[in-house]
Amino acid sequence: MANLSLRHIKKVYPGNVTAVKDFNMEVEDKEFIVLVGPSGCGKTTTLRMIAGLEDISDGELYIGERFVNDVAPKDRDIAMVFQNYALYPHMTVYENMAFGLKLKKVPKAEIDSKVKHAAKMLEIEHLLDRKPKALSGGQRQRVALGRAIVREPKVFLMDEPLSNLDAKLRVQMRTVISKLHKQLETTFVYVTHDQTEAMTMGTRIVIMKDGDIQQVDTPQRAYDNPANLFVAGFIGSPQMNFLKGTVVLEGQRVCLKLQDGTMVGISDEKAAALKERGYISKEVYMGIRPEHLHDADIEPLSSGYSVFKGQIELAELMGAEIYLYFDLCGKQITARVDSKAAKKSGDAVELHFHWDKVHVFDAETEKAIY
Amino acid sequence: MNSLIYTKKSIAVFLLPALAIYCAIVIVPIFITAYFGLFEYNGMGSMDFIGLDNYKKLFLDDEVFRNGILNSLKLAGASLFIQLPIALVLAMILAKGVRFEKFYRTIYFIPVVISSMVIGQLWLRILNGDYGLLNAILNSLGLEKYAMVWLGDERTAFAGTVVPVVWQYVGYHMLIMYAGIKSIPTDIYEAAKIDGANNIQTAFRITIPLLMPVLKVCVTFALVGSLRAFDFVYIMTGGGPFHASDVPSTIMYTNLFRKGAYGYGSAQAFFIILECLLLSLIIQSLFKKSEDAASAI
Repeated sequence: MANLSLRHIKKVYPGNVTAVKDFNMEVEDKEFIVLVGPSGCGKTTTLRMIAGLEDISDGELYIGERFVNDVAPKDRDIAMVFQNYALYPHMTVYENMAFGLKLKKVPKAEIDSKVKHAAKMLEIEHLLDRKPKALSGGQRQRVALGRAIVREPKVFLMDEPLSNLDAKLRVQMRTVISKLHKQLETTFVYVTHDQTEAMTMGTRIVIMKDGDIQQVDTPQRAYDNPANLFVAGFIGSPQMNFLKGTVVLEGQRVCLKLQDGTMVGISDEKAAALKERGYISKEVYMGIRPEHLHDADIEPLSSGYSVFKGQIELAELMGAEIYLYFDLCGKQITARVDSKAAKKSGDAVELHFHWDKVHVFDAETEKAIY
Repeated sequence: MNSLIYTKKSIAVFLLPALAIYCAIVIVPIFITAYFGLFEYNGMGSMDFIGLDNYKKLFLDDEVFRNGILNSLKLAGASLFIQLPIALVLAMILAKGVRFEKFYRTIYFIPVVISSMVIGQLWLRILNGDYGLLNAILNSLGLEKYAMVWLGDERTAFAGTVVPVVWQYVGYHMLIMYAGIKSIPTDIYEAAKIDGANNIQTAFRITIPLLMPVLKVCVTFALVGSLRAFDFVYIMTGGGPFHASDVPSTIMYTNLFRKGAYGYGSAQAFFIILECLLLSLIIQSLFKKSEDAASAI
């Protein structure tokens, strides 16, 4: 069993700098957890606390059933893959992978079989006699993974392992790591600032900001139901469009009055929810993903939709789709529409959207209302 | 391609003045020294060509010089096996991030910036047989029987000059090694920590192998410095008593400037230069493999 329990973990650096405020979560056995967030959000610090490379200022950390706050990294039964590979430059690939086992005084034959097995798994058997400087970035990262695999740890920790690779190799290594997770059936904790890695690899993702957990969820749920404005903006590319407005009653109809005075009708179901929660006359943020804005010319919605109109400032052809940028209430809005739309800068555009695809956030707390 | 050649030519032209000056003050004097070594010459009168007699005399007849070489090798041994290990240990401790790291680093480096003359005088007072600090300590500990005239005794005079040399340059080597250790990426240490390496294993299996390029520089400096050591011996004992603490440089100095044996002194000087060059080459080749292995840092 390699479940991981982080109970109210806190990290305060000298000078009273709080890097991690109150990290509280249970990681199940064999889960692939991805910690994601912008630079300085505390994700790497959290990972390093799990590894034992940073002291825990407050809280309790359990690996399996074992309380490990004060346990040395080597005794935590973890393995870590570093951003810069951290291979020993003076050792061959074989020696790099065998180093930890040699220190544990594992018999030579066993070391040999484990190293060769891991090398086969990662397709680096032909590189075993080489020194790290004779390897490409991708090969080095495989060696770093191999070094972790041979330890047969309960938990794999990975600190932005793909960030030094080029885009193509990154996609390839993403698959390698995902496959590895399935093969090894071990708990993985993976840190990245790349939301694509988070979305594609994690069984659950932990979105962090300023040392706080913003949301812990499956990638799909985090995408579909962001807990707050930050998560909504962080997950998804291009990012979600936000417009600030006030919920108003126009006769019996609930509408959203945008900052430029535009009235956007709200569907009955959503309107009832806002009314019920007392949001009439209150400010909210309306959020809609670019792919949920439909070009009225080629894919108009038939019923229960609202409309945005604007003039295209920039059209970016991405191949199968086209990104349209236009201004609304002083904010840049992005729409991701089919490339059949053949729109270009300066064209007028009418975009339809359904209210069931709209996210509404409290303007004060920035938390999702629905 | 033309511009590349043009650039290379320009670089060569710009380097020429420095090369000319270097040759004039280093290379040419070495050959002149070797040339003077072929003569019986007192520096002023006539020069009598005697072939390689001066060089033969160095090895076959001159017991004082042979003893001097032995002393310089002992000094080299002390530098290699006492001075450098102390410097390495201090560098590793400091680089690990102790409290008051900068303070200790400065303190250890202070002897390097003090003149050899001042340090020589300081150690003369410590080792003085009548009022020296060392004897005073021995006396206060009830070890009077071990108190002696340290620099006046054939058995201890040379050792008395070795101690300040080792002491003065510990800080120098420590600083070079400290900078080397600091340049090793911290994640390599973290990986070793997770792999289960303790401090000793980390030192021997990570730090030292990765520090080889820096250690090579320190070993070269320490060895060459020992072989051409002069100042402390000259200041503290003048090579005595009865040549017990003489080193090749002090013997060469005596021959050149005291005895007027300019030809013979030149032969000794040329030997010292050759000895240093040869050892530097040996060190280069000995360290080559390990240096290549650590070159990725």
